[in-house]
Amino acid sequence: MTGVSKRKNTIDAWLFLLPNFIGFLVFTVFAIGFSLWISMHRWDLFSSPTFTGLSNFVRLLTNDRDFKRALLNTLYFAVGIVPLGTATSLCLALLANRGLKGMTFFRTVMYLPSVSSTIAVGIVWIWLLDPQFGVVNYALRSIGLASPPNWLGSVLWAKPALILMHIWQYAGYYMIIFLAGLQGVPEQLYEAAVLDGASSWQKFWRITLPLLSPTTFFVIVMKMIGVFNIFEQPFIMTGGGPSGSTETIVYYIYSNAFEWFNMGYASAVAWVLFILVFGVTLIQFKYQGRWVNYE
Amino acid sequence: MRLGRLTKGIIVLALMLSVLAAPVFAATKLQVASWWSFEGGSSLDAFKQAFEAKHPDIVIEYVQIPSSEYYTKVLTMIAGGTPPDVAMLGMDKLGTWVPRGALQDLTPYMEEAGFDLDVFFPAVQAAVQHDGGIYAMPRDATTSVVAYNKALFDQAGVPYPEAGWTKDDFLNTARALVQKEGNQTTVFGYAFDTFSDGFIDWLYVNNASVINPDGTGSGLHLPNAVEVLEFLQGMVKEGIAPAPALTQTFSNASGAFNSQRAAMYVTTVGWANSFTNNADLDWDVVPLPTWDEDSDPATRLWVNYWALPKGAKHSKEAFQFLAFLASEEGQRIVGETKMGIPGIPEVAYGPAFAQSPGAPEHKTYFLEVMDGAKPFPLFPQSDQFYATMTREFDSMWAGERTVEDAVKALDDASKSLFQ
Repeated sequence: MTGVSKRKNTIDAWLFLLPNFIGFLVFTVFAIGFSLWISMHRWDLFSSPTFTGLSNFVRLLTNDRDFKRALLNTLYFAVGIVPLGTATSLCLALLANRGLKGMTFFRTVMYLPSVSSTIAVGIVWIWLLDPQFGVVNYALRSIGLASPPNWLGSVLWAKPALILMHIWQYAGYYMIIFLAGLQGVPEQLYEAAVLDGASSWQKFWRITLPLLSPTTFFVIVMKMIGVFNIFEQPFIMTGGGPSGSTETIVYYIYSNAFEWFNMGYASAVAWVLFILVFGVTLIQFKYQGRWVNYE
Repeated sequence: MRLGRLTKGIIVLALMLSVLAAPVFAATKLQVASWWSFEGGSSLDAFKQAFEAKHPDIVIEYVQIPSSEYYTKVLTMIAGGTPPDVAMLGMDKLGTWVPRGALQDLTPYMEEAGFDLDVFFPAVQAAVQHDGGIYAMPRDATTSVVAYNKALFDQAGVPYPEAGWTKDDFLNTARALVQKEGNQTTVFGYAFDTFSDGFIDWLYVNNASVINPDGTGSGLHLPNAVEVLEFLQGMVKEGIAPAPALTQTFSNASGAFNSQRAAMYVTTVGWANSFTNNADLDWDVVPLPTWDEDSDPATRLWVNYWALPKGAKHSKEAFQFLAFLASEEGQRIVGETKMGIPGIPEVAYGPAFAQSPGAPEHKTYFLEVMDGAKPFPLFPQSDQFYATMTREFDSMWAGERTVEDAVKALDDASKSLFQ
């Protein structure tokens, strides 16, 4: 290739990349930089931003009990959803991996909620969980529970209800990921284990789980990031209530930015959320060596 | 370059057509934002037809934005420099949008057009003014009265309520109307919503408000407000009114009244219109009770607005539309299409509203209480304050927290908003 045609190719490549690159610069790099800049200002979209230094960060970390509540709610969701959701998806994947009749249909049905609109799914769940007429409480009453919970209207039960719905919605998606991991486990290992007299539980515990650990790690990391960003479910189903018990950090960012137009403060909360998610992910990567087996 | 005959012909034809079409394209298009449908036969369509017939040079283009995202969207459009020419607004937004500079003061346009506010009810005149300016024209107004189900009163053998009753009369009446089957309450005496709209009338009845008289903080921890909240919470505890969770199963408290599961409900004209459409409901209205025999009658005044956003491209033409909406003709359409109470007394007392056929029989009460009506409170922190209030009061309405505890928590939590 001559120097001229090489240069021409380089220019062509840049020209092809340019539209995407400009989009990346404007909508990602600039937006992130602007949000950092605005997090150090007070701004309501109308008046000029007023520089306030780090006061937004100081206030939210030291003197904002609504943020503290949103943070604790988010951690509650993380503790509830990540282990239970991972275990549920793994169980479904083990079931779907058995090659029984009708499994293709089963996988499709399980995957369906994750590609359905959260708004539509949320409205259906509001009806399912209705304290008077909902199917869930009808079932509970029919097995003898006289006063089933007021799921979405109770401080005690609203979070478990959303956890249940979230796990149901994404169980199929992570099931597919586990399924891909399961199909990568060599069959010979199971055959050797059977010859050695291993039980089903021993095969799962000694072969499946260790060899699935990279997939499990990926699922946990992705679920953790997803859980820190929970928004649609409480937005649709509870409006953050009752008593703020389902208000998450992202919901709090939304309220500050688009209901109260505290853009600077909302940006500060968003940056704290980013640092939190980044930190948790970093810790997960740091300690993965202790339990993740890549061999 | 030589042009062929055909090409020349096409160019000449195009020029002629553009000349002929010029008057059509010269018309000013006004973009009007609302959360209402503007389909044929709707109130908005009636406004458009009537206005365009008088102003052939102006075309109304409605933009319907779903109510759940309406204010966020319109405010963002204004901030982004692409506002609609006219925006429909709920009353509370005047308190938050004017301090942000999102709306235009209509005073200069009114002076130029010789438009006088005196034509409106005095309470409506006050409601369109804020921070020393006039920031909106009334779309319609509403006061609150007590709607009662005559059939349920007859079943319980309770006489219909009359103007001049007190809150103790109200409580005794509501108590006598409760019907039970075993442990299950089949009819409640009264139903109310637990958001601010659901109890603000009672605050006004006892000379209280959501904010303190100086506007410097919550007013709900003050003695009169605490009395009201304890009165309402007491009705829930006693089973006279449904708990919030049960109210939600009817969508809201008006749903409980509309489905004949509650015998009384404090209603605005908007909800009253939905009751009128229910042929199974035999109902009427009566003014709200006074707190006691010595206190004055009171109710809340709510006004829906049409406003001119800052940066609107066709402000002058937009004001013409606003002036039409607020005119006698516009306000007659308001009454006839059941948007609310026309803001002009002559129209409101006429066939468009008070003399219109159908229930309730005593719809003039909506107008007679206008004298004691207090405007819904307007303050810049209202959006965040009401969100905080909902958070602190949820457990109070569920009976898991005392009123004293909830109002103190609200006072503490909202202090920073007013600093």
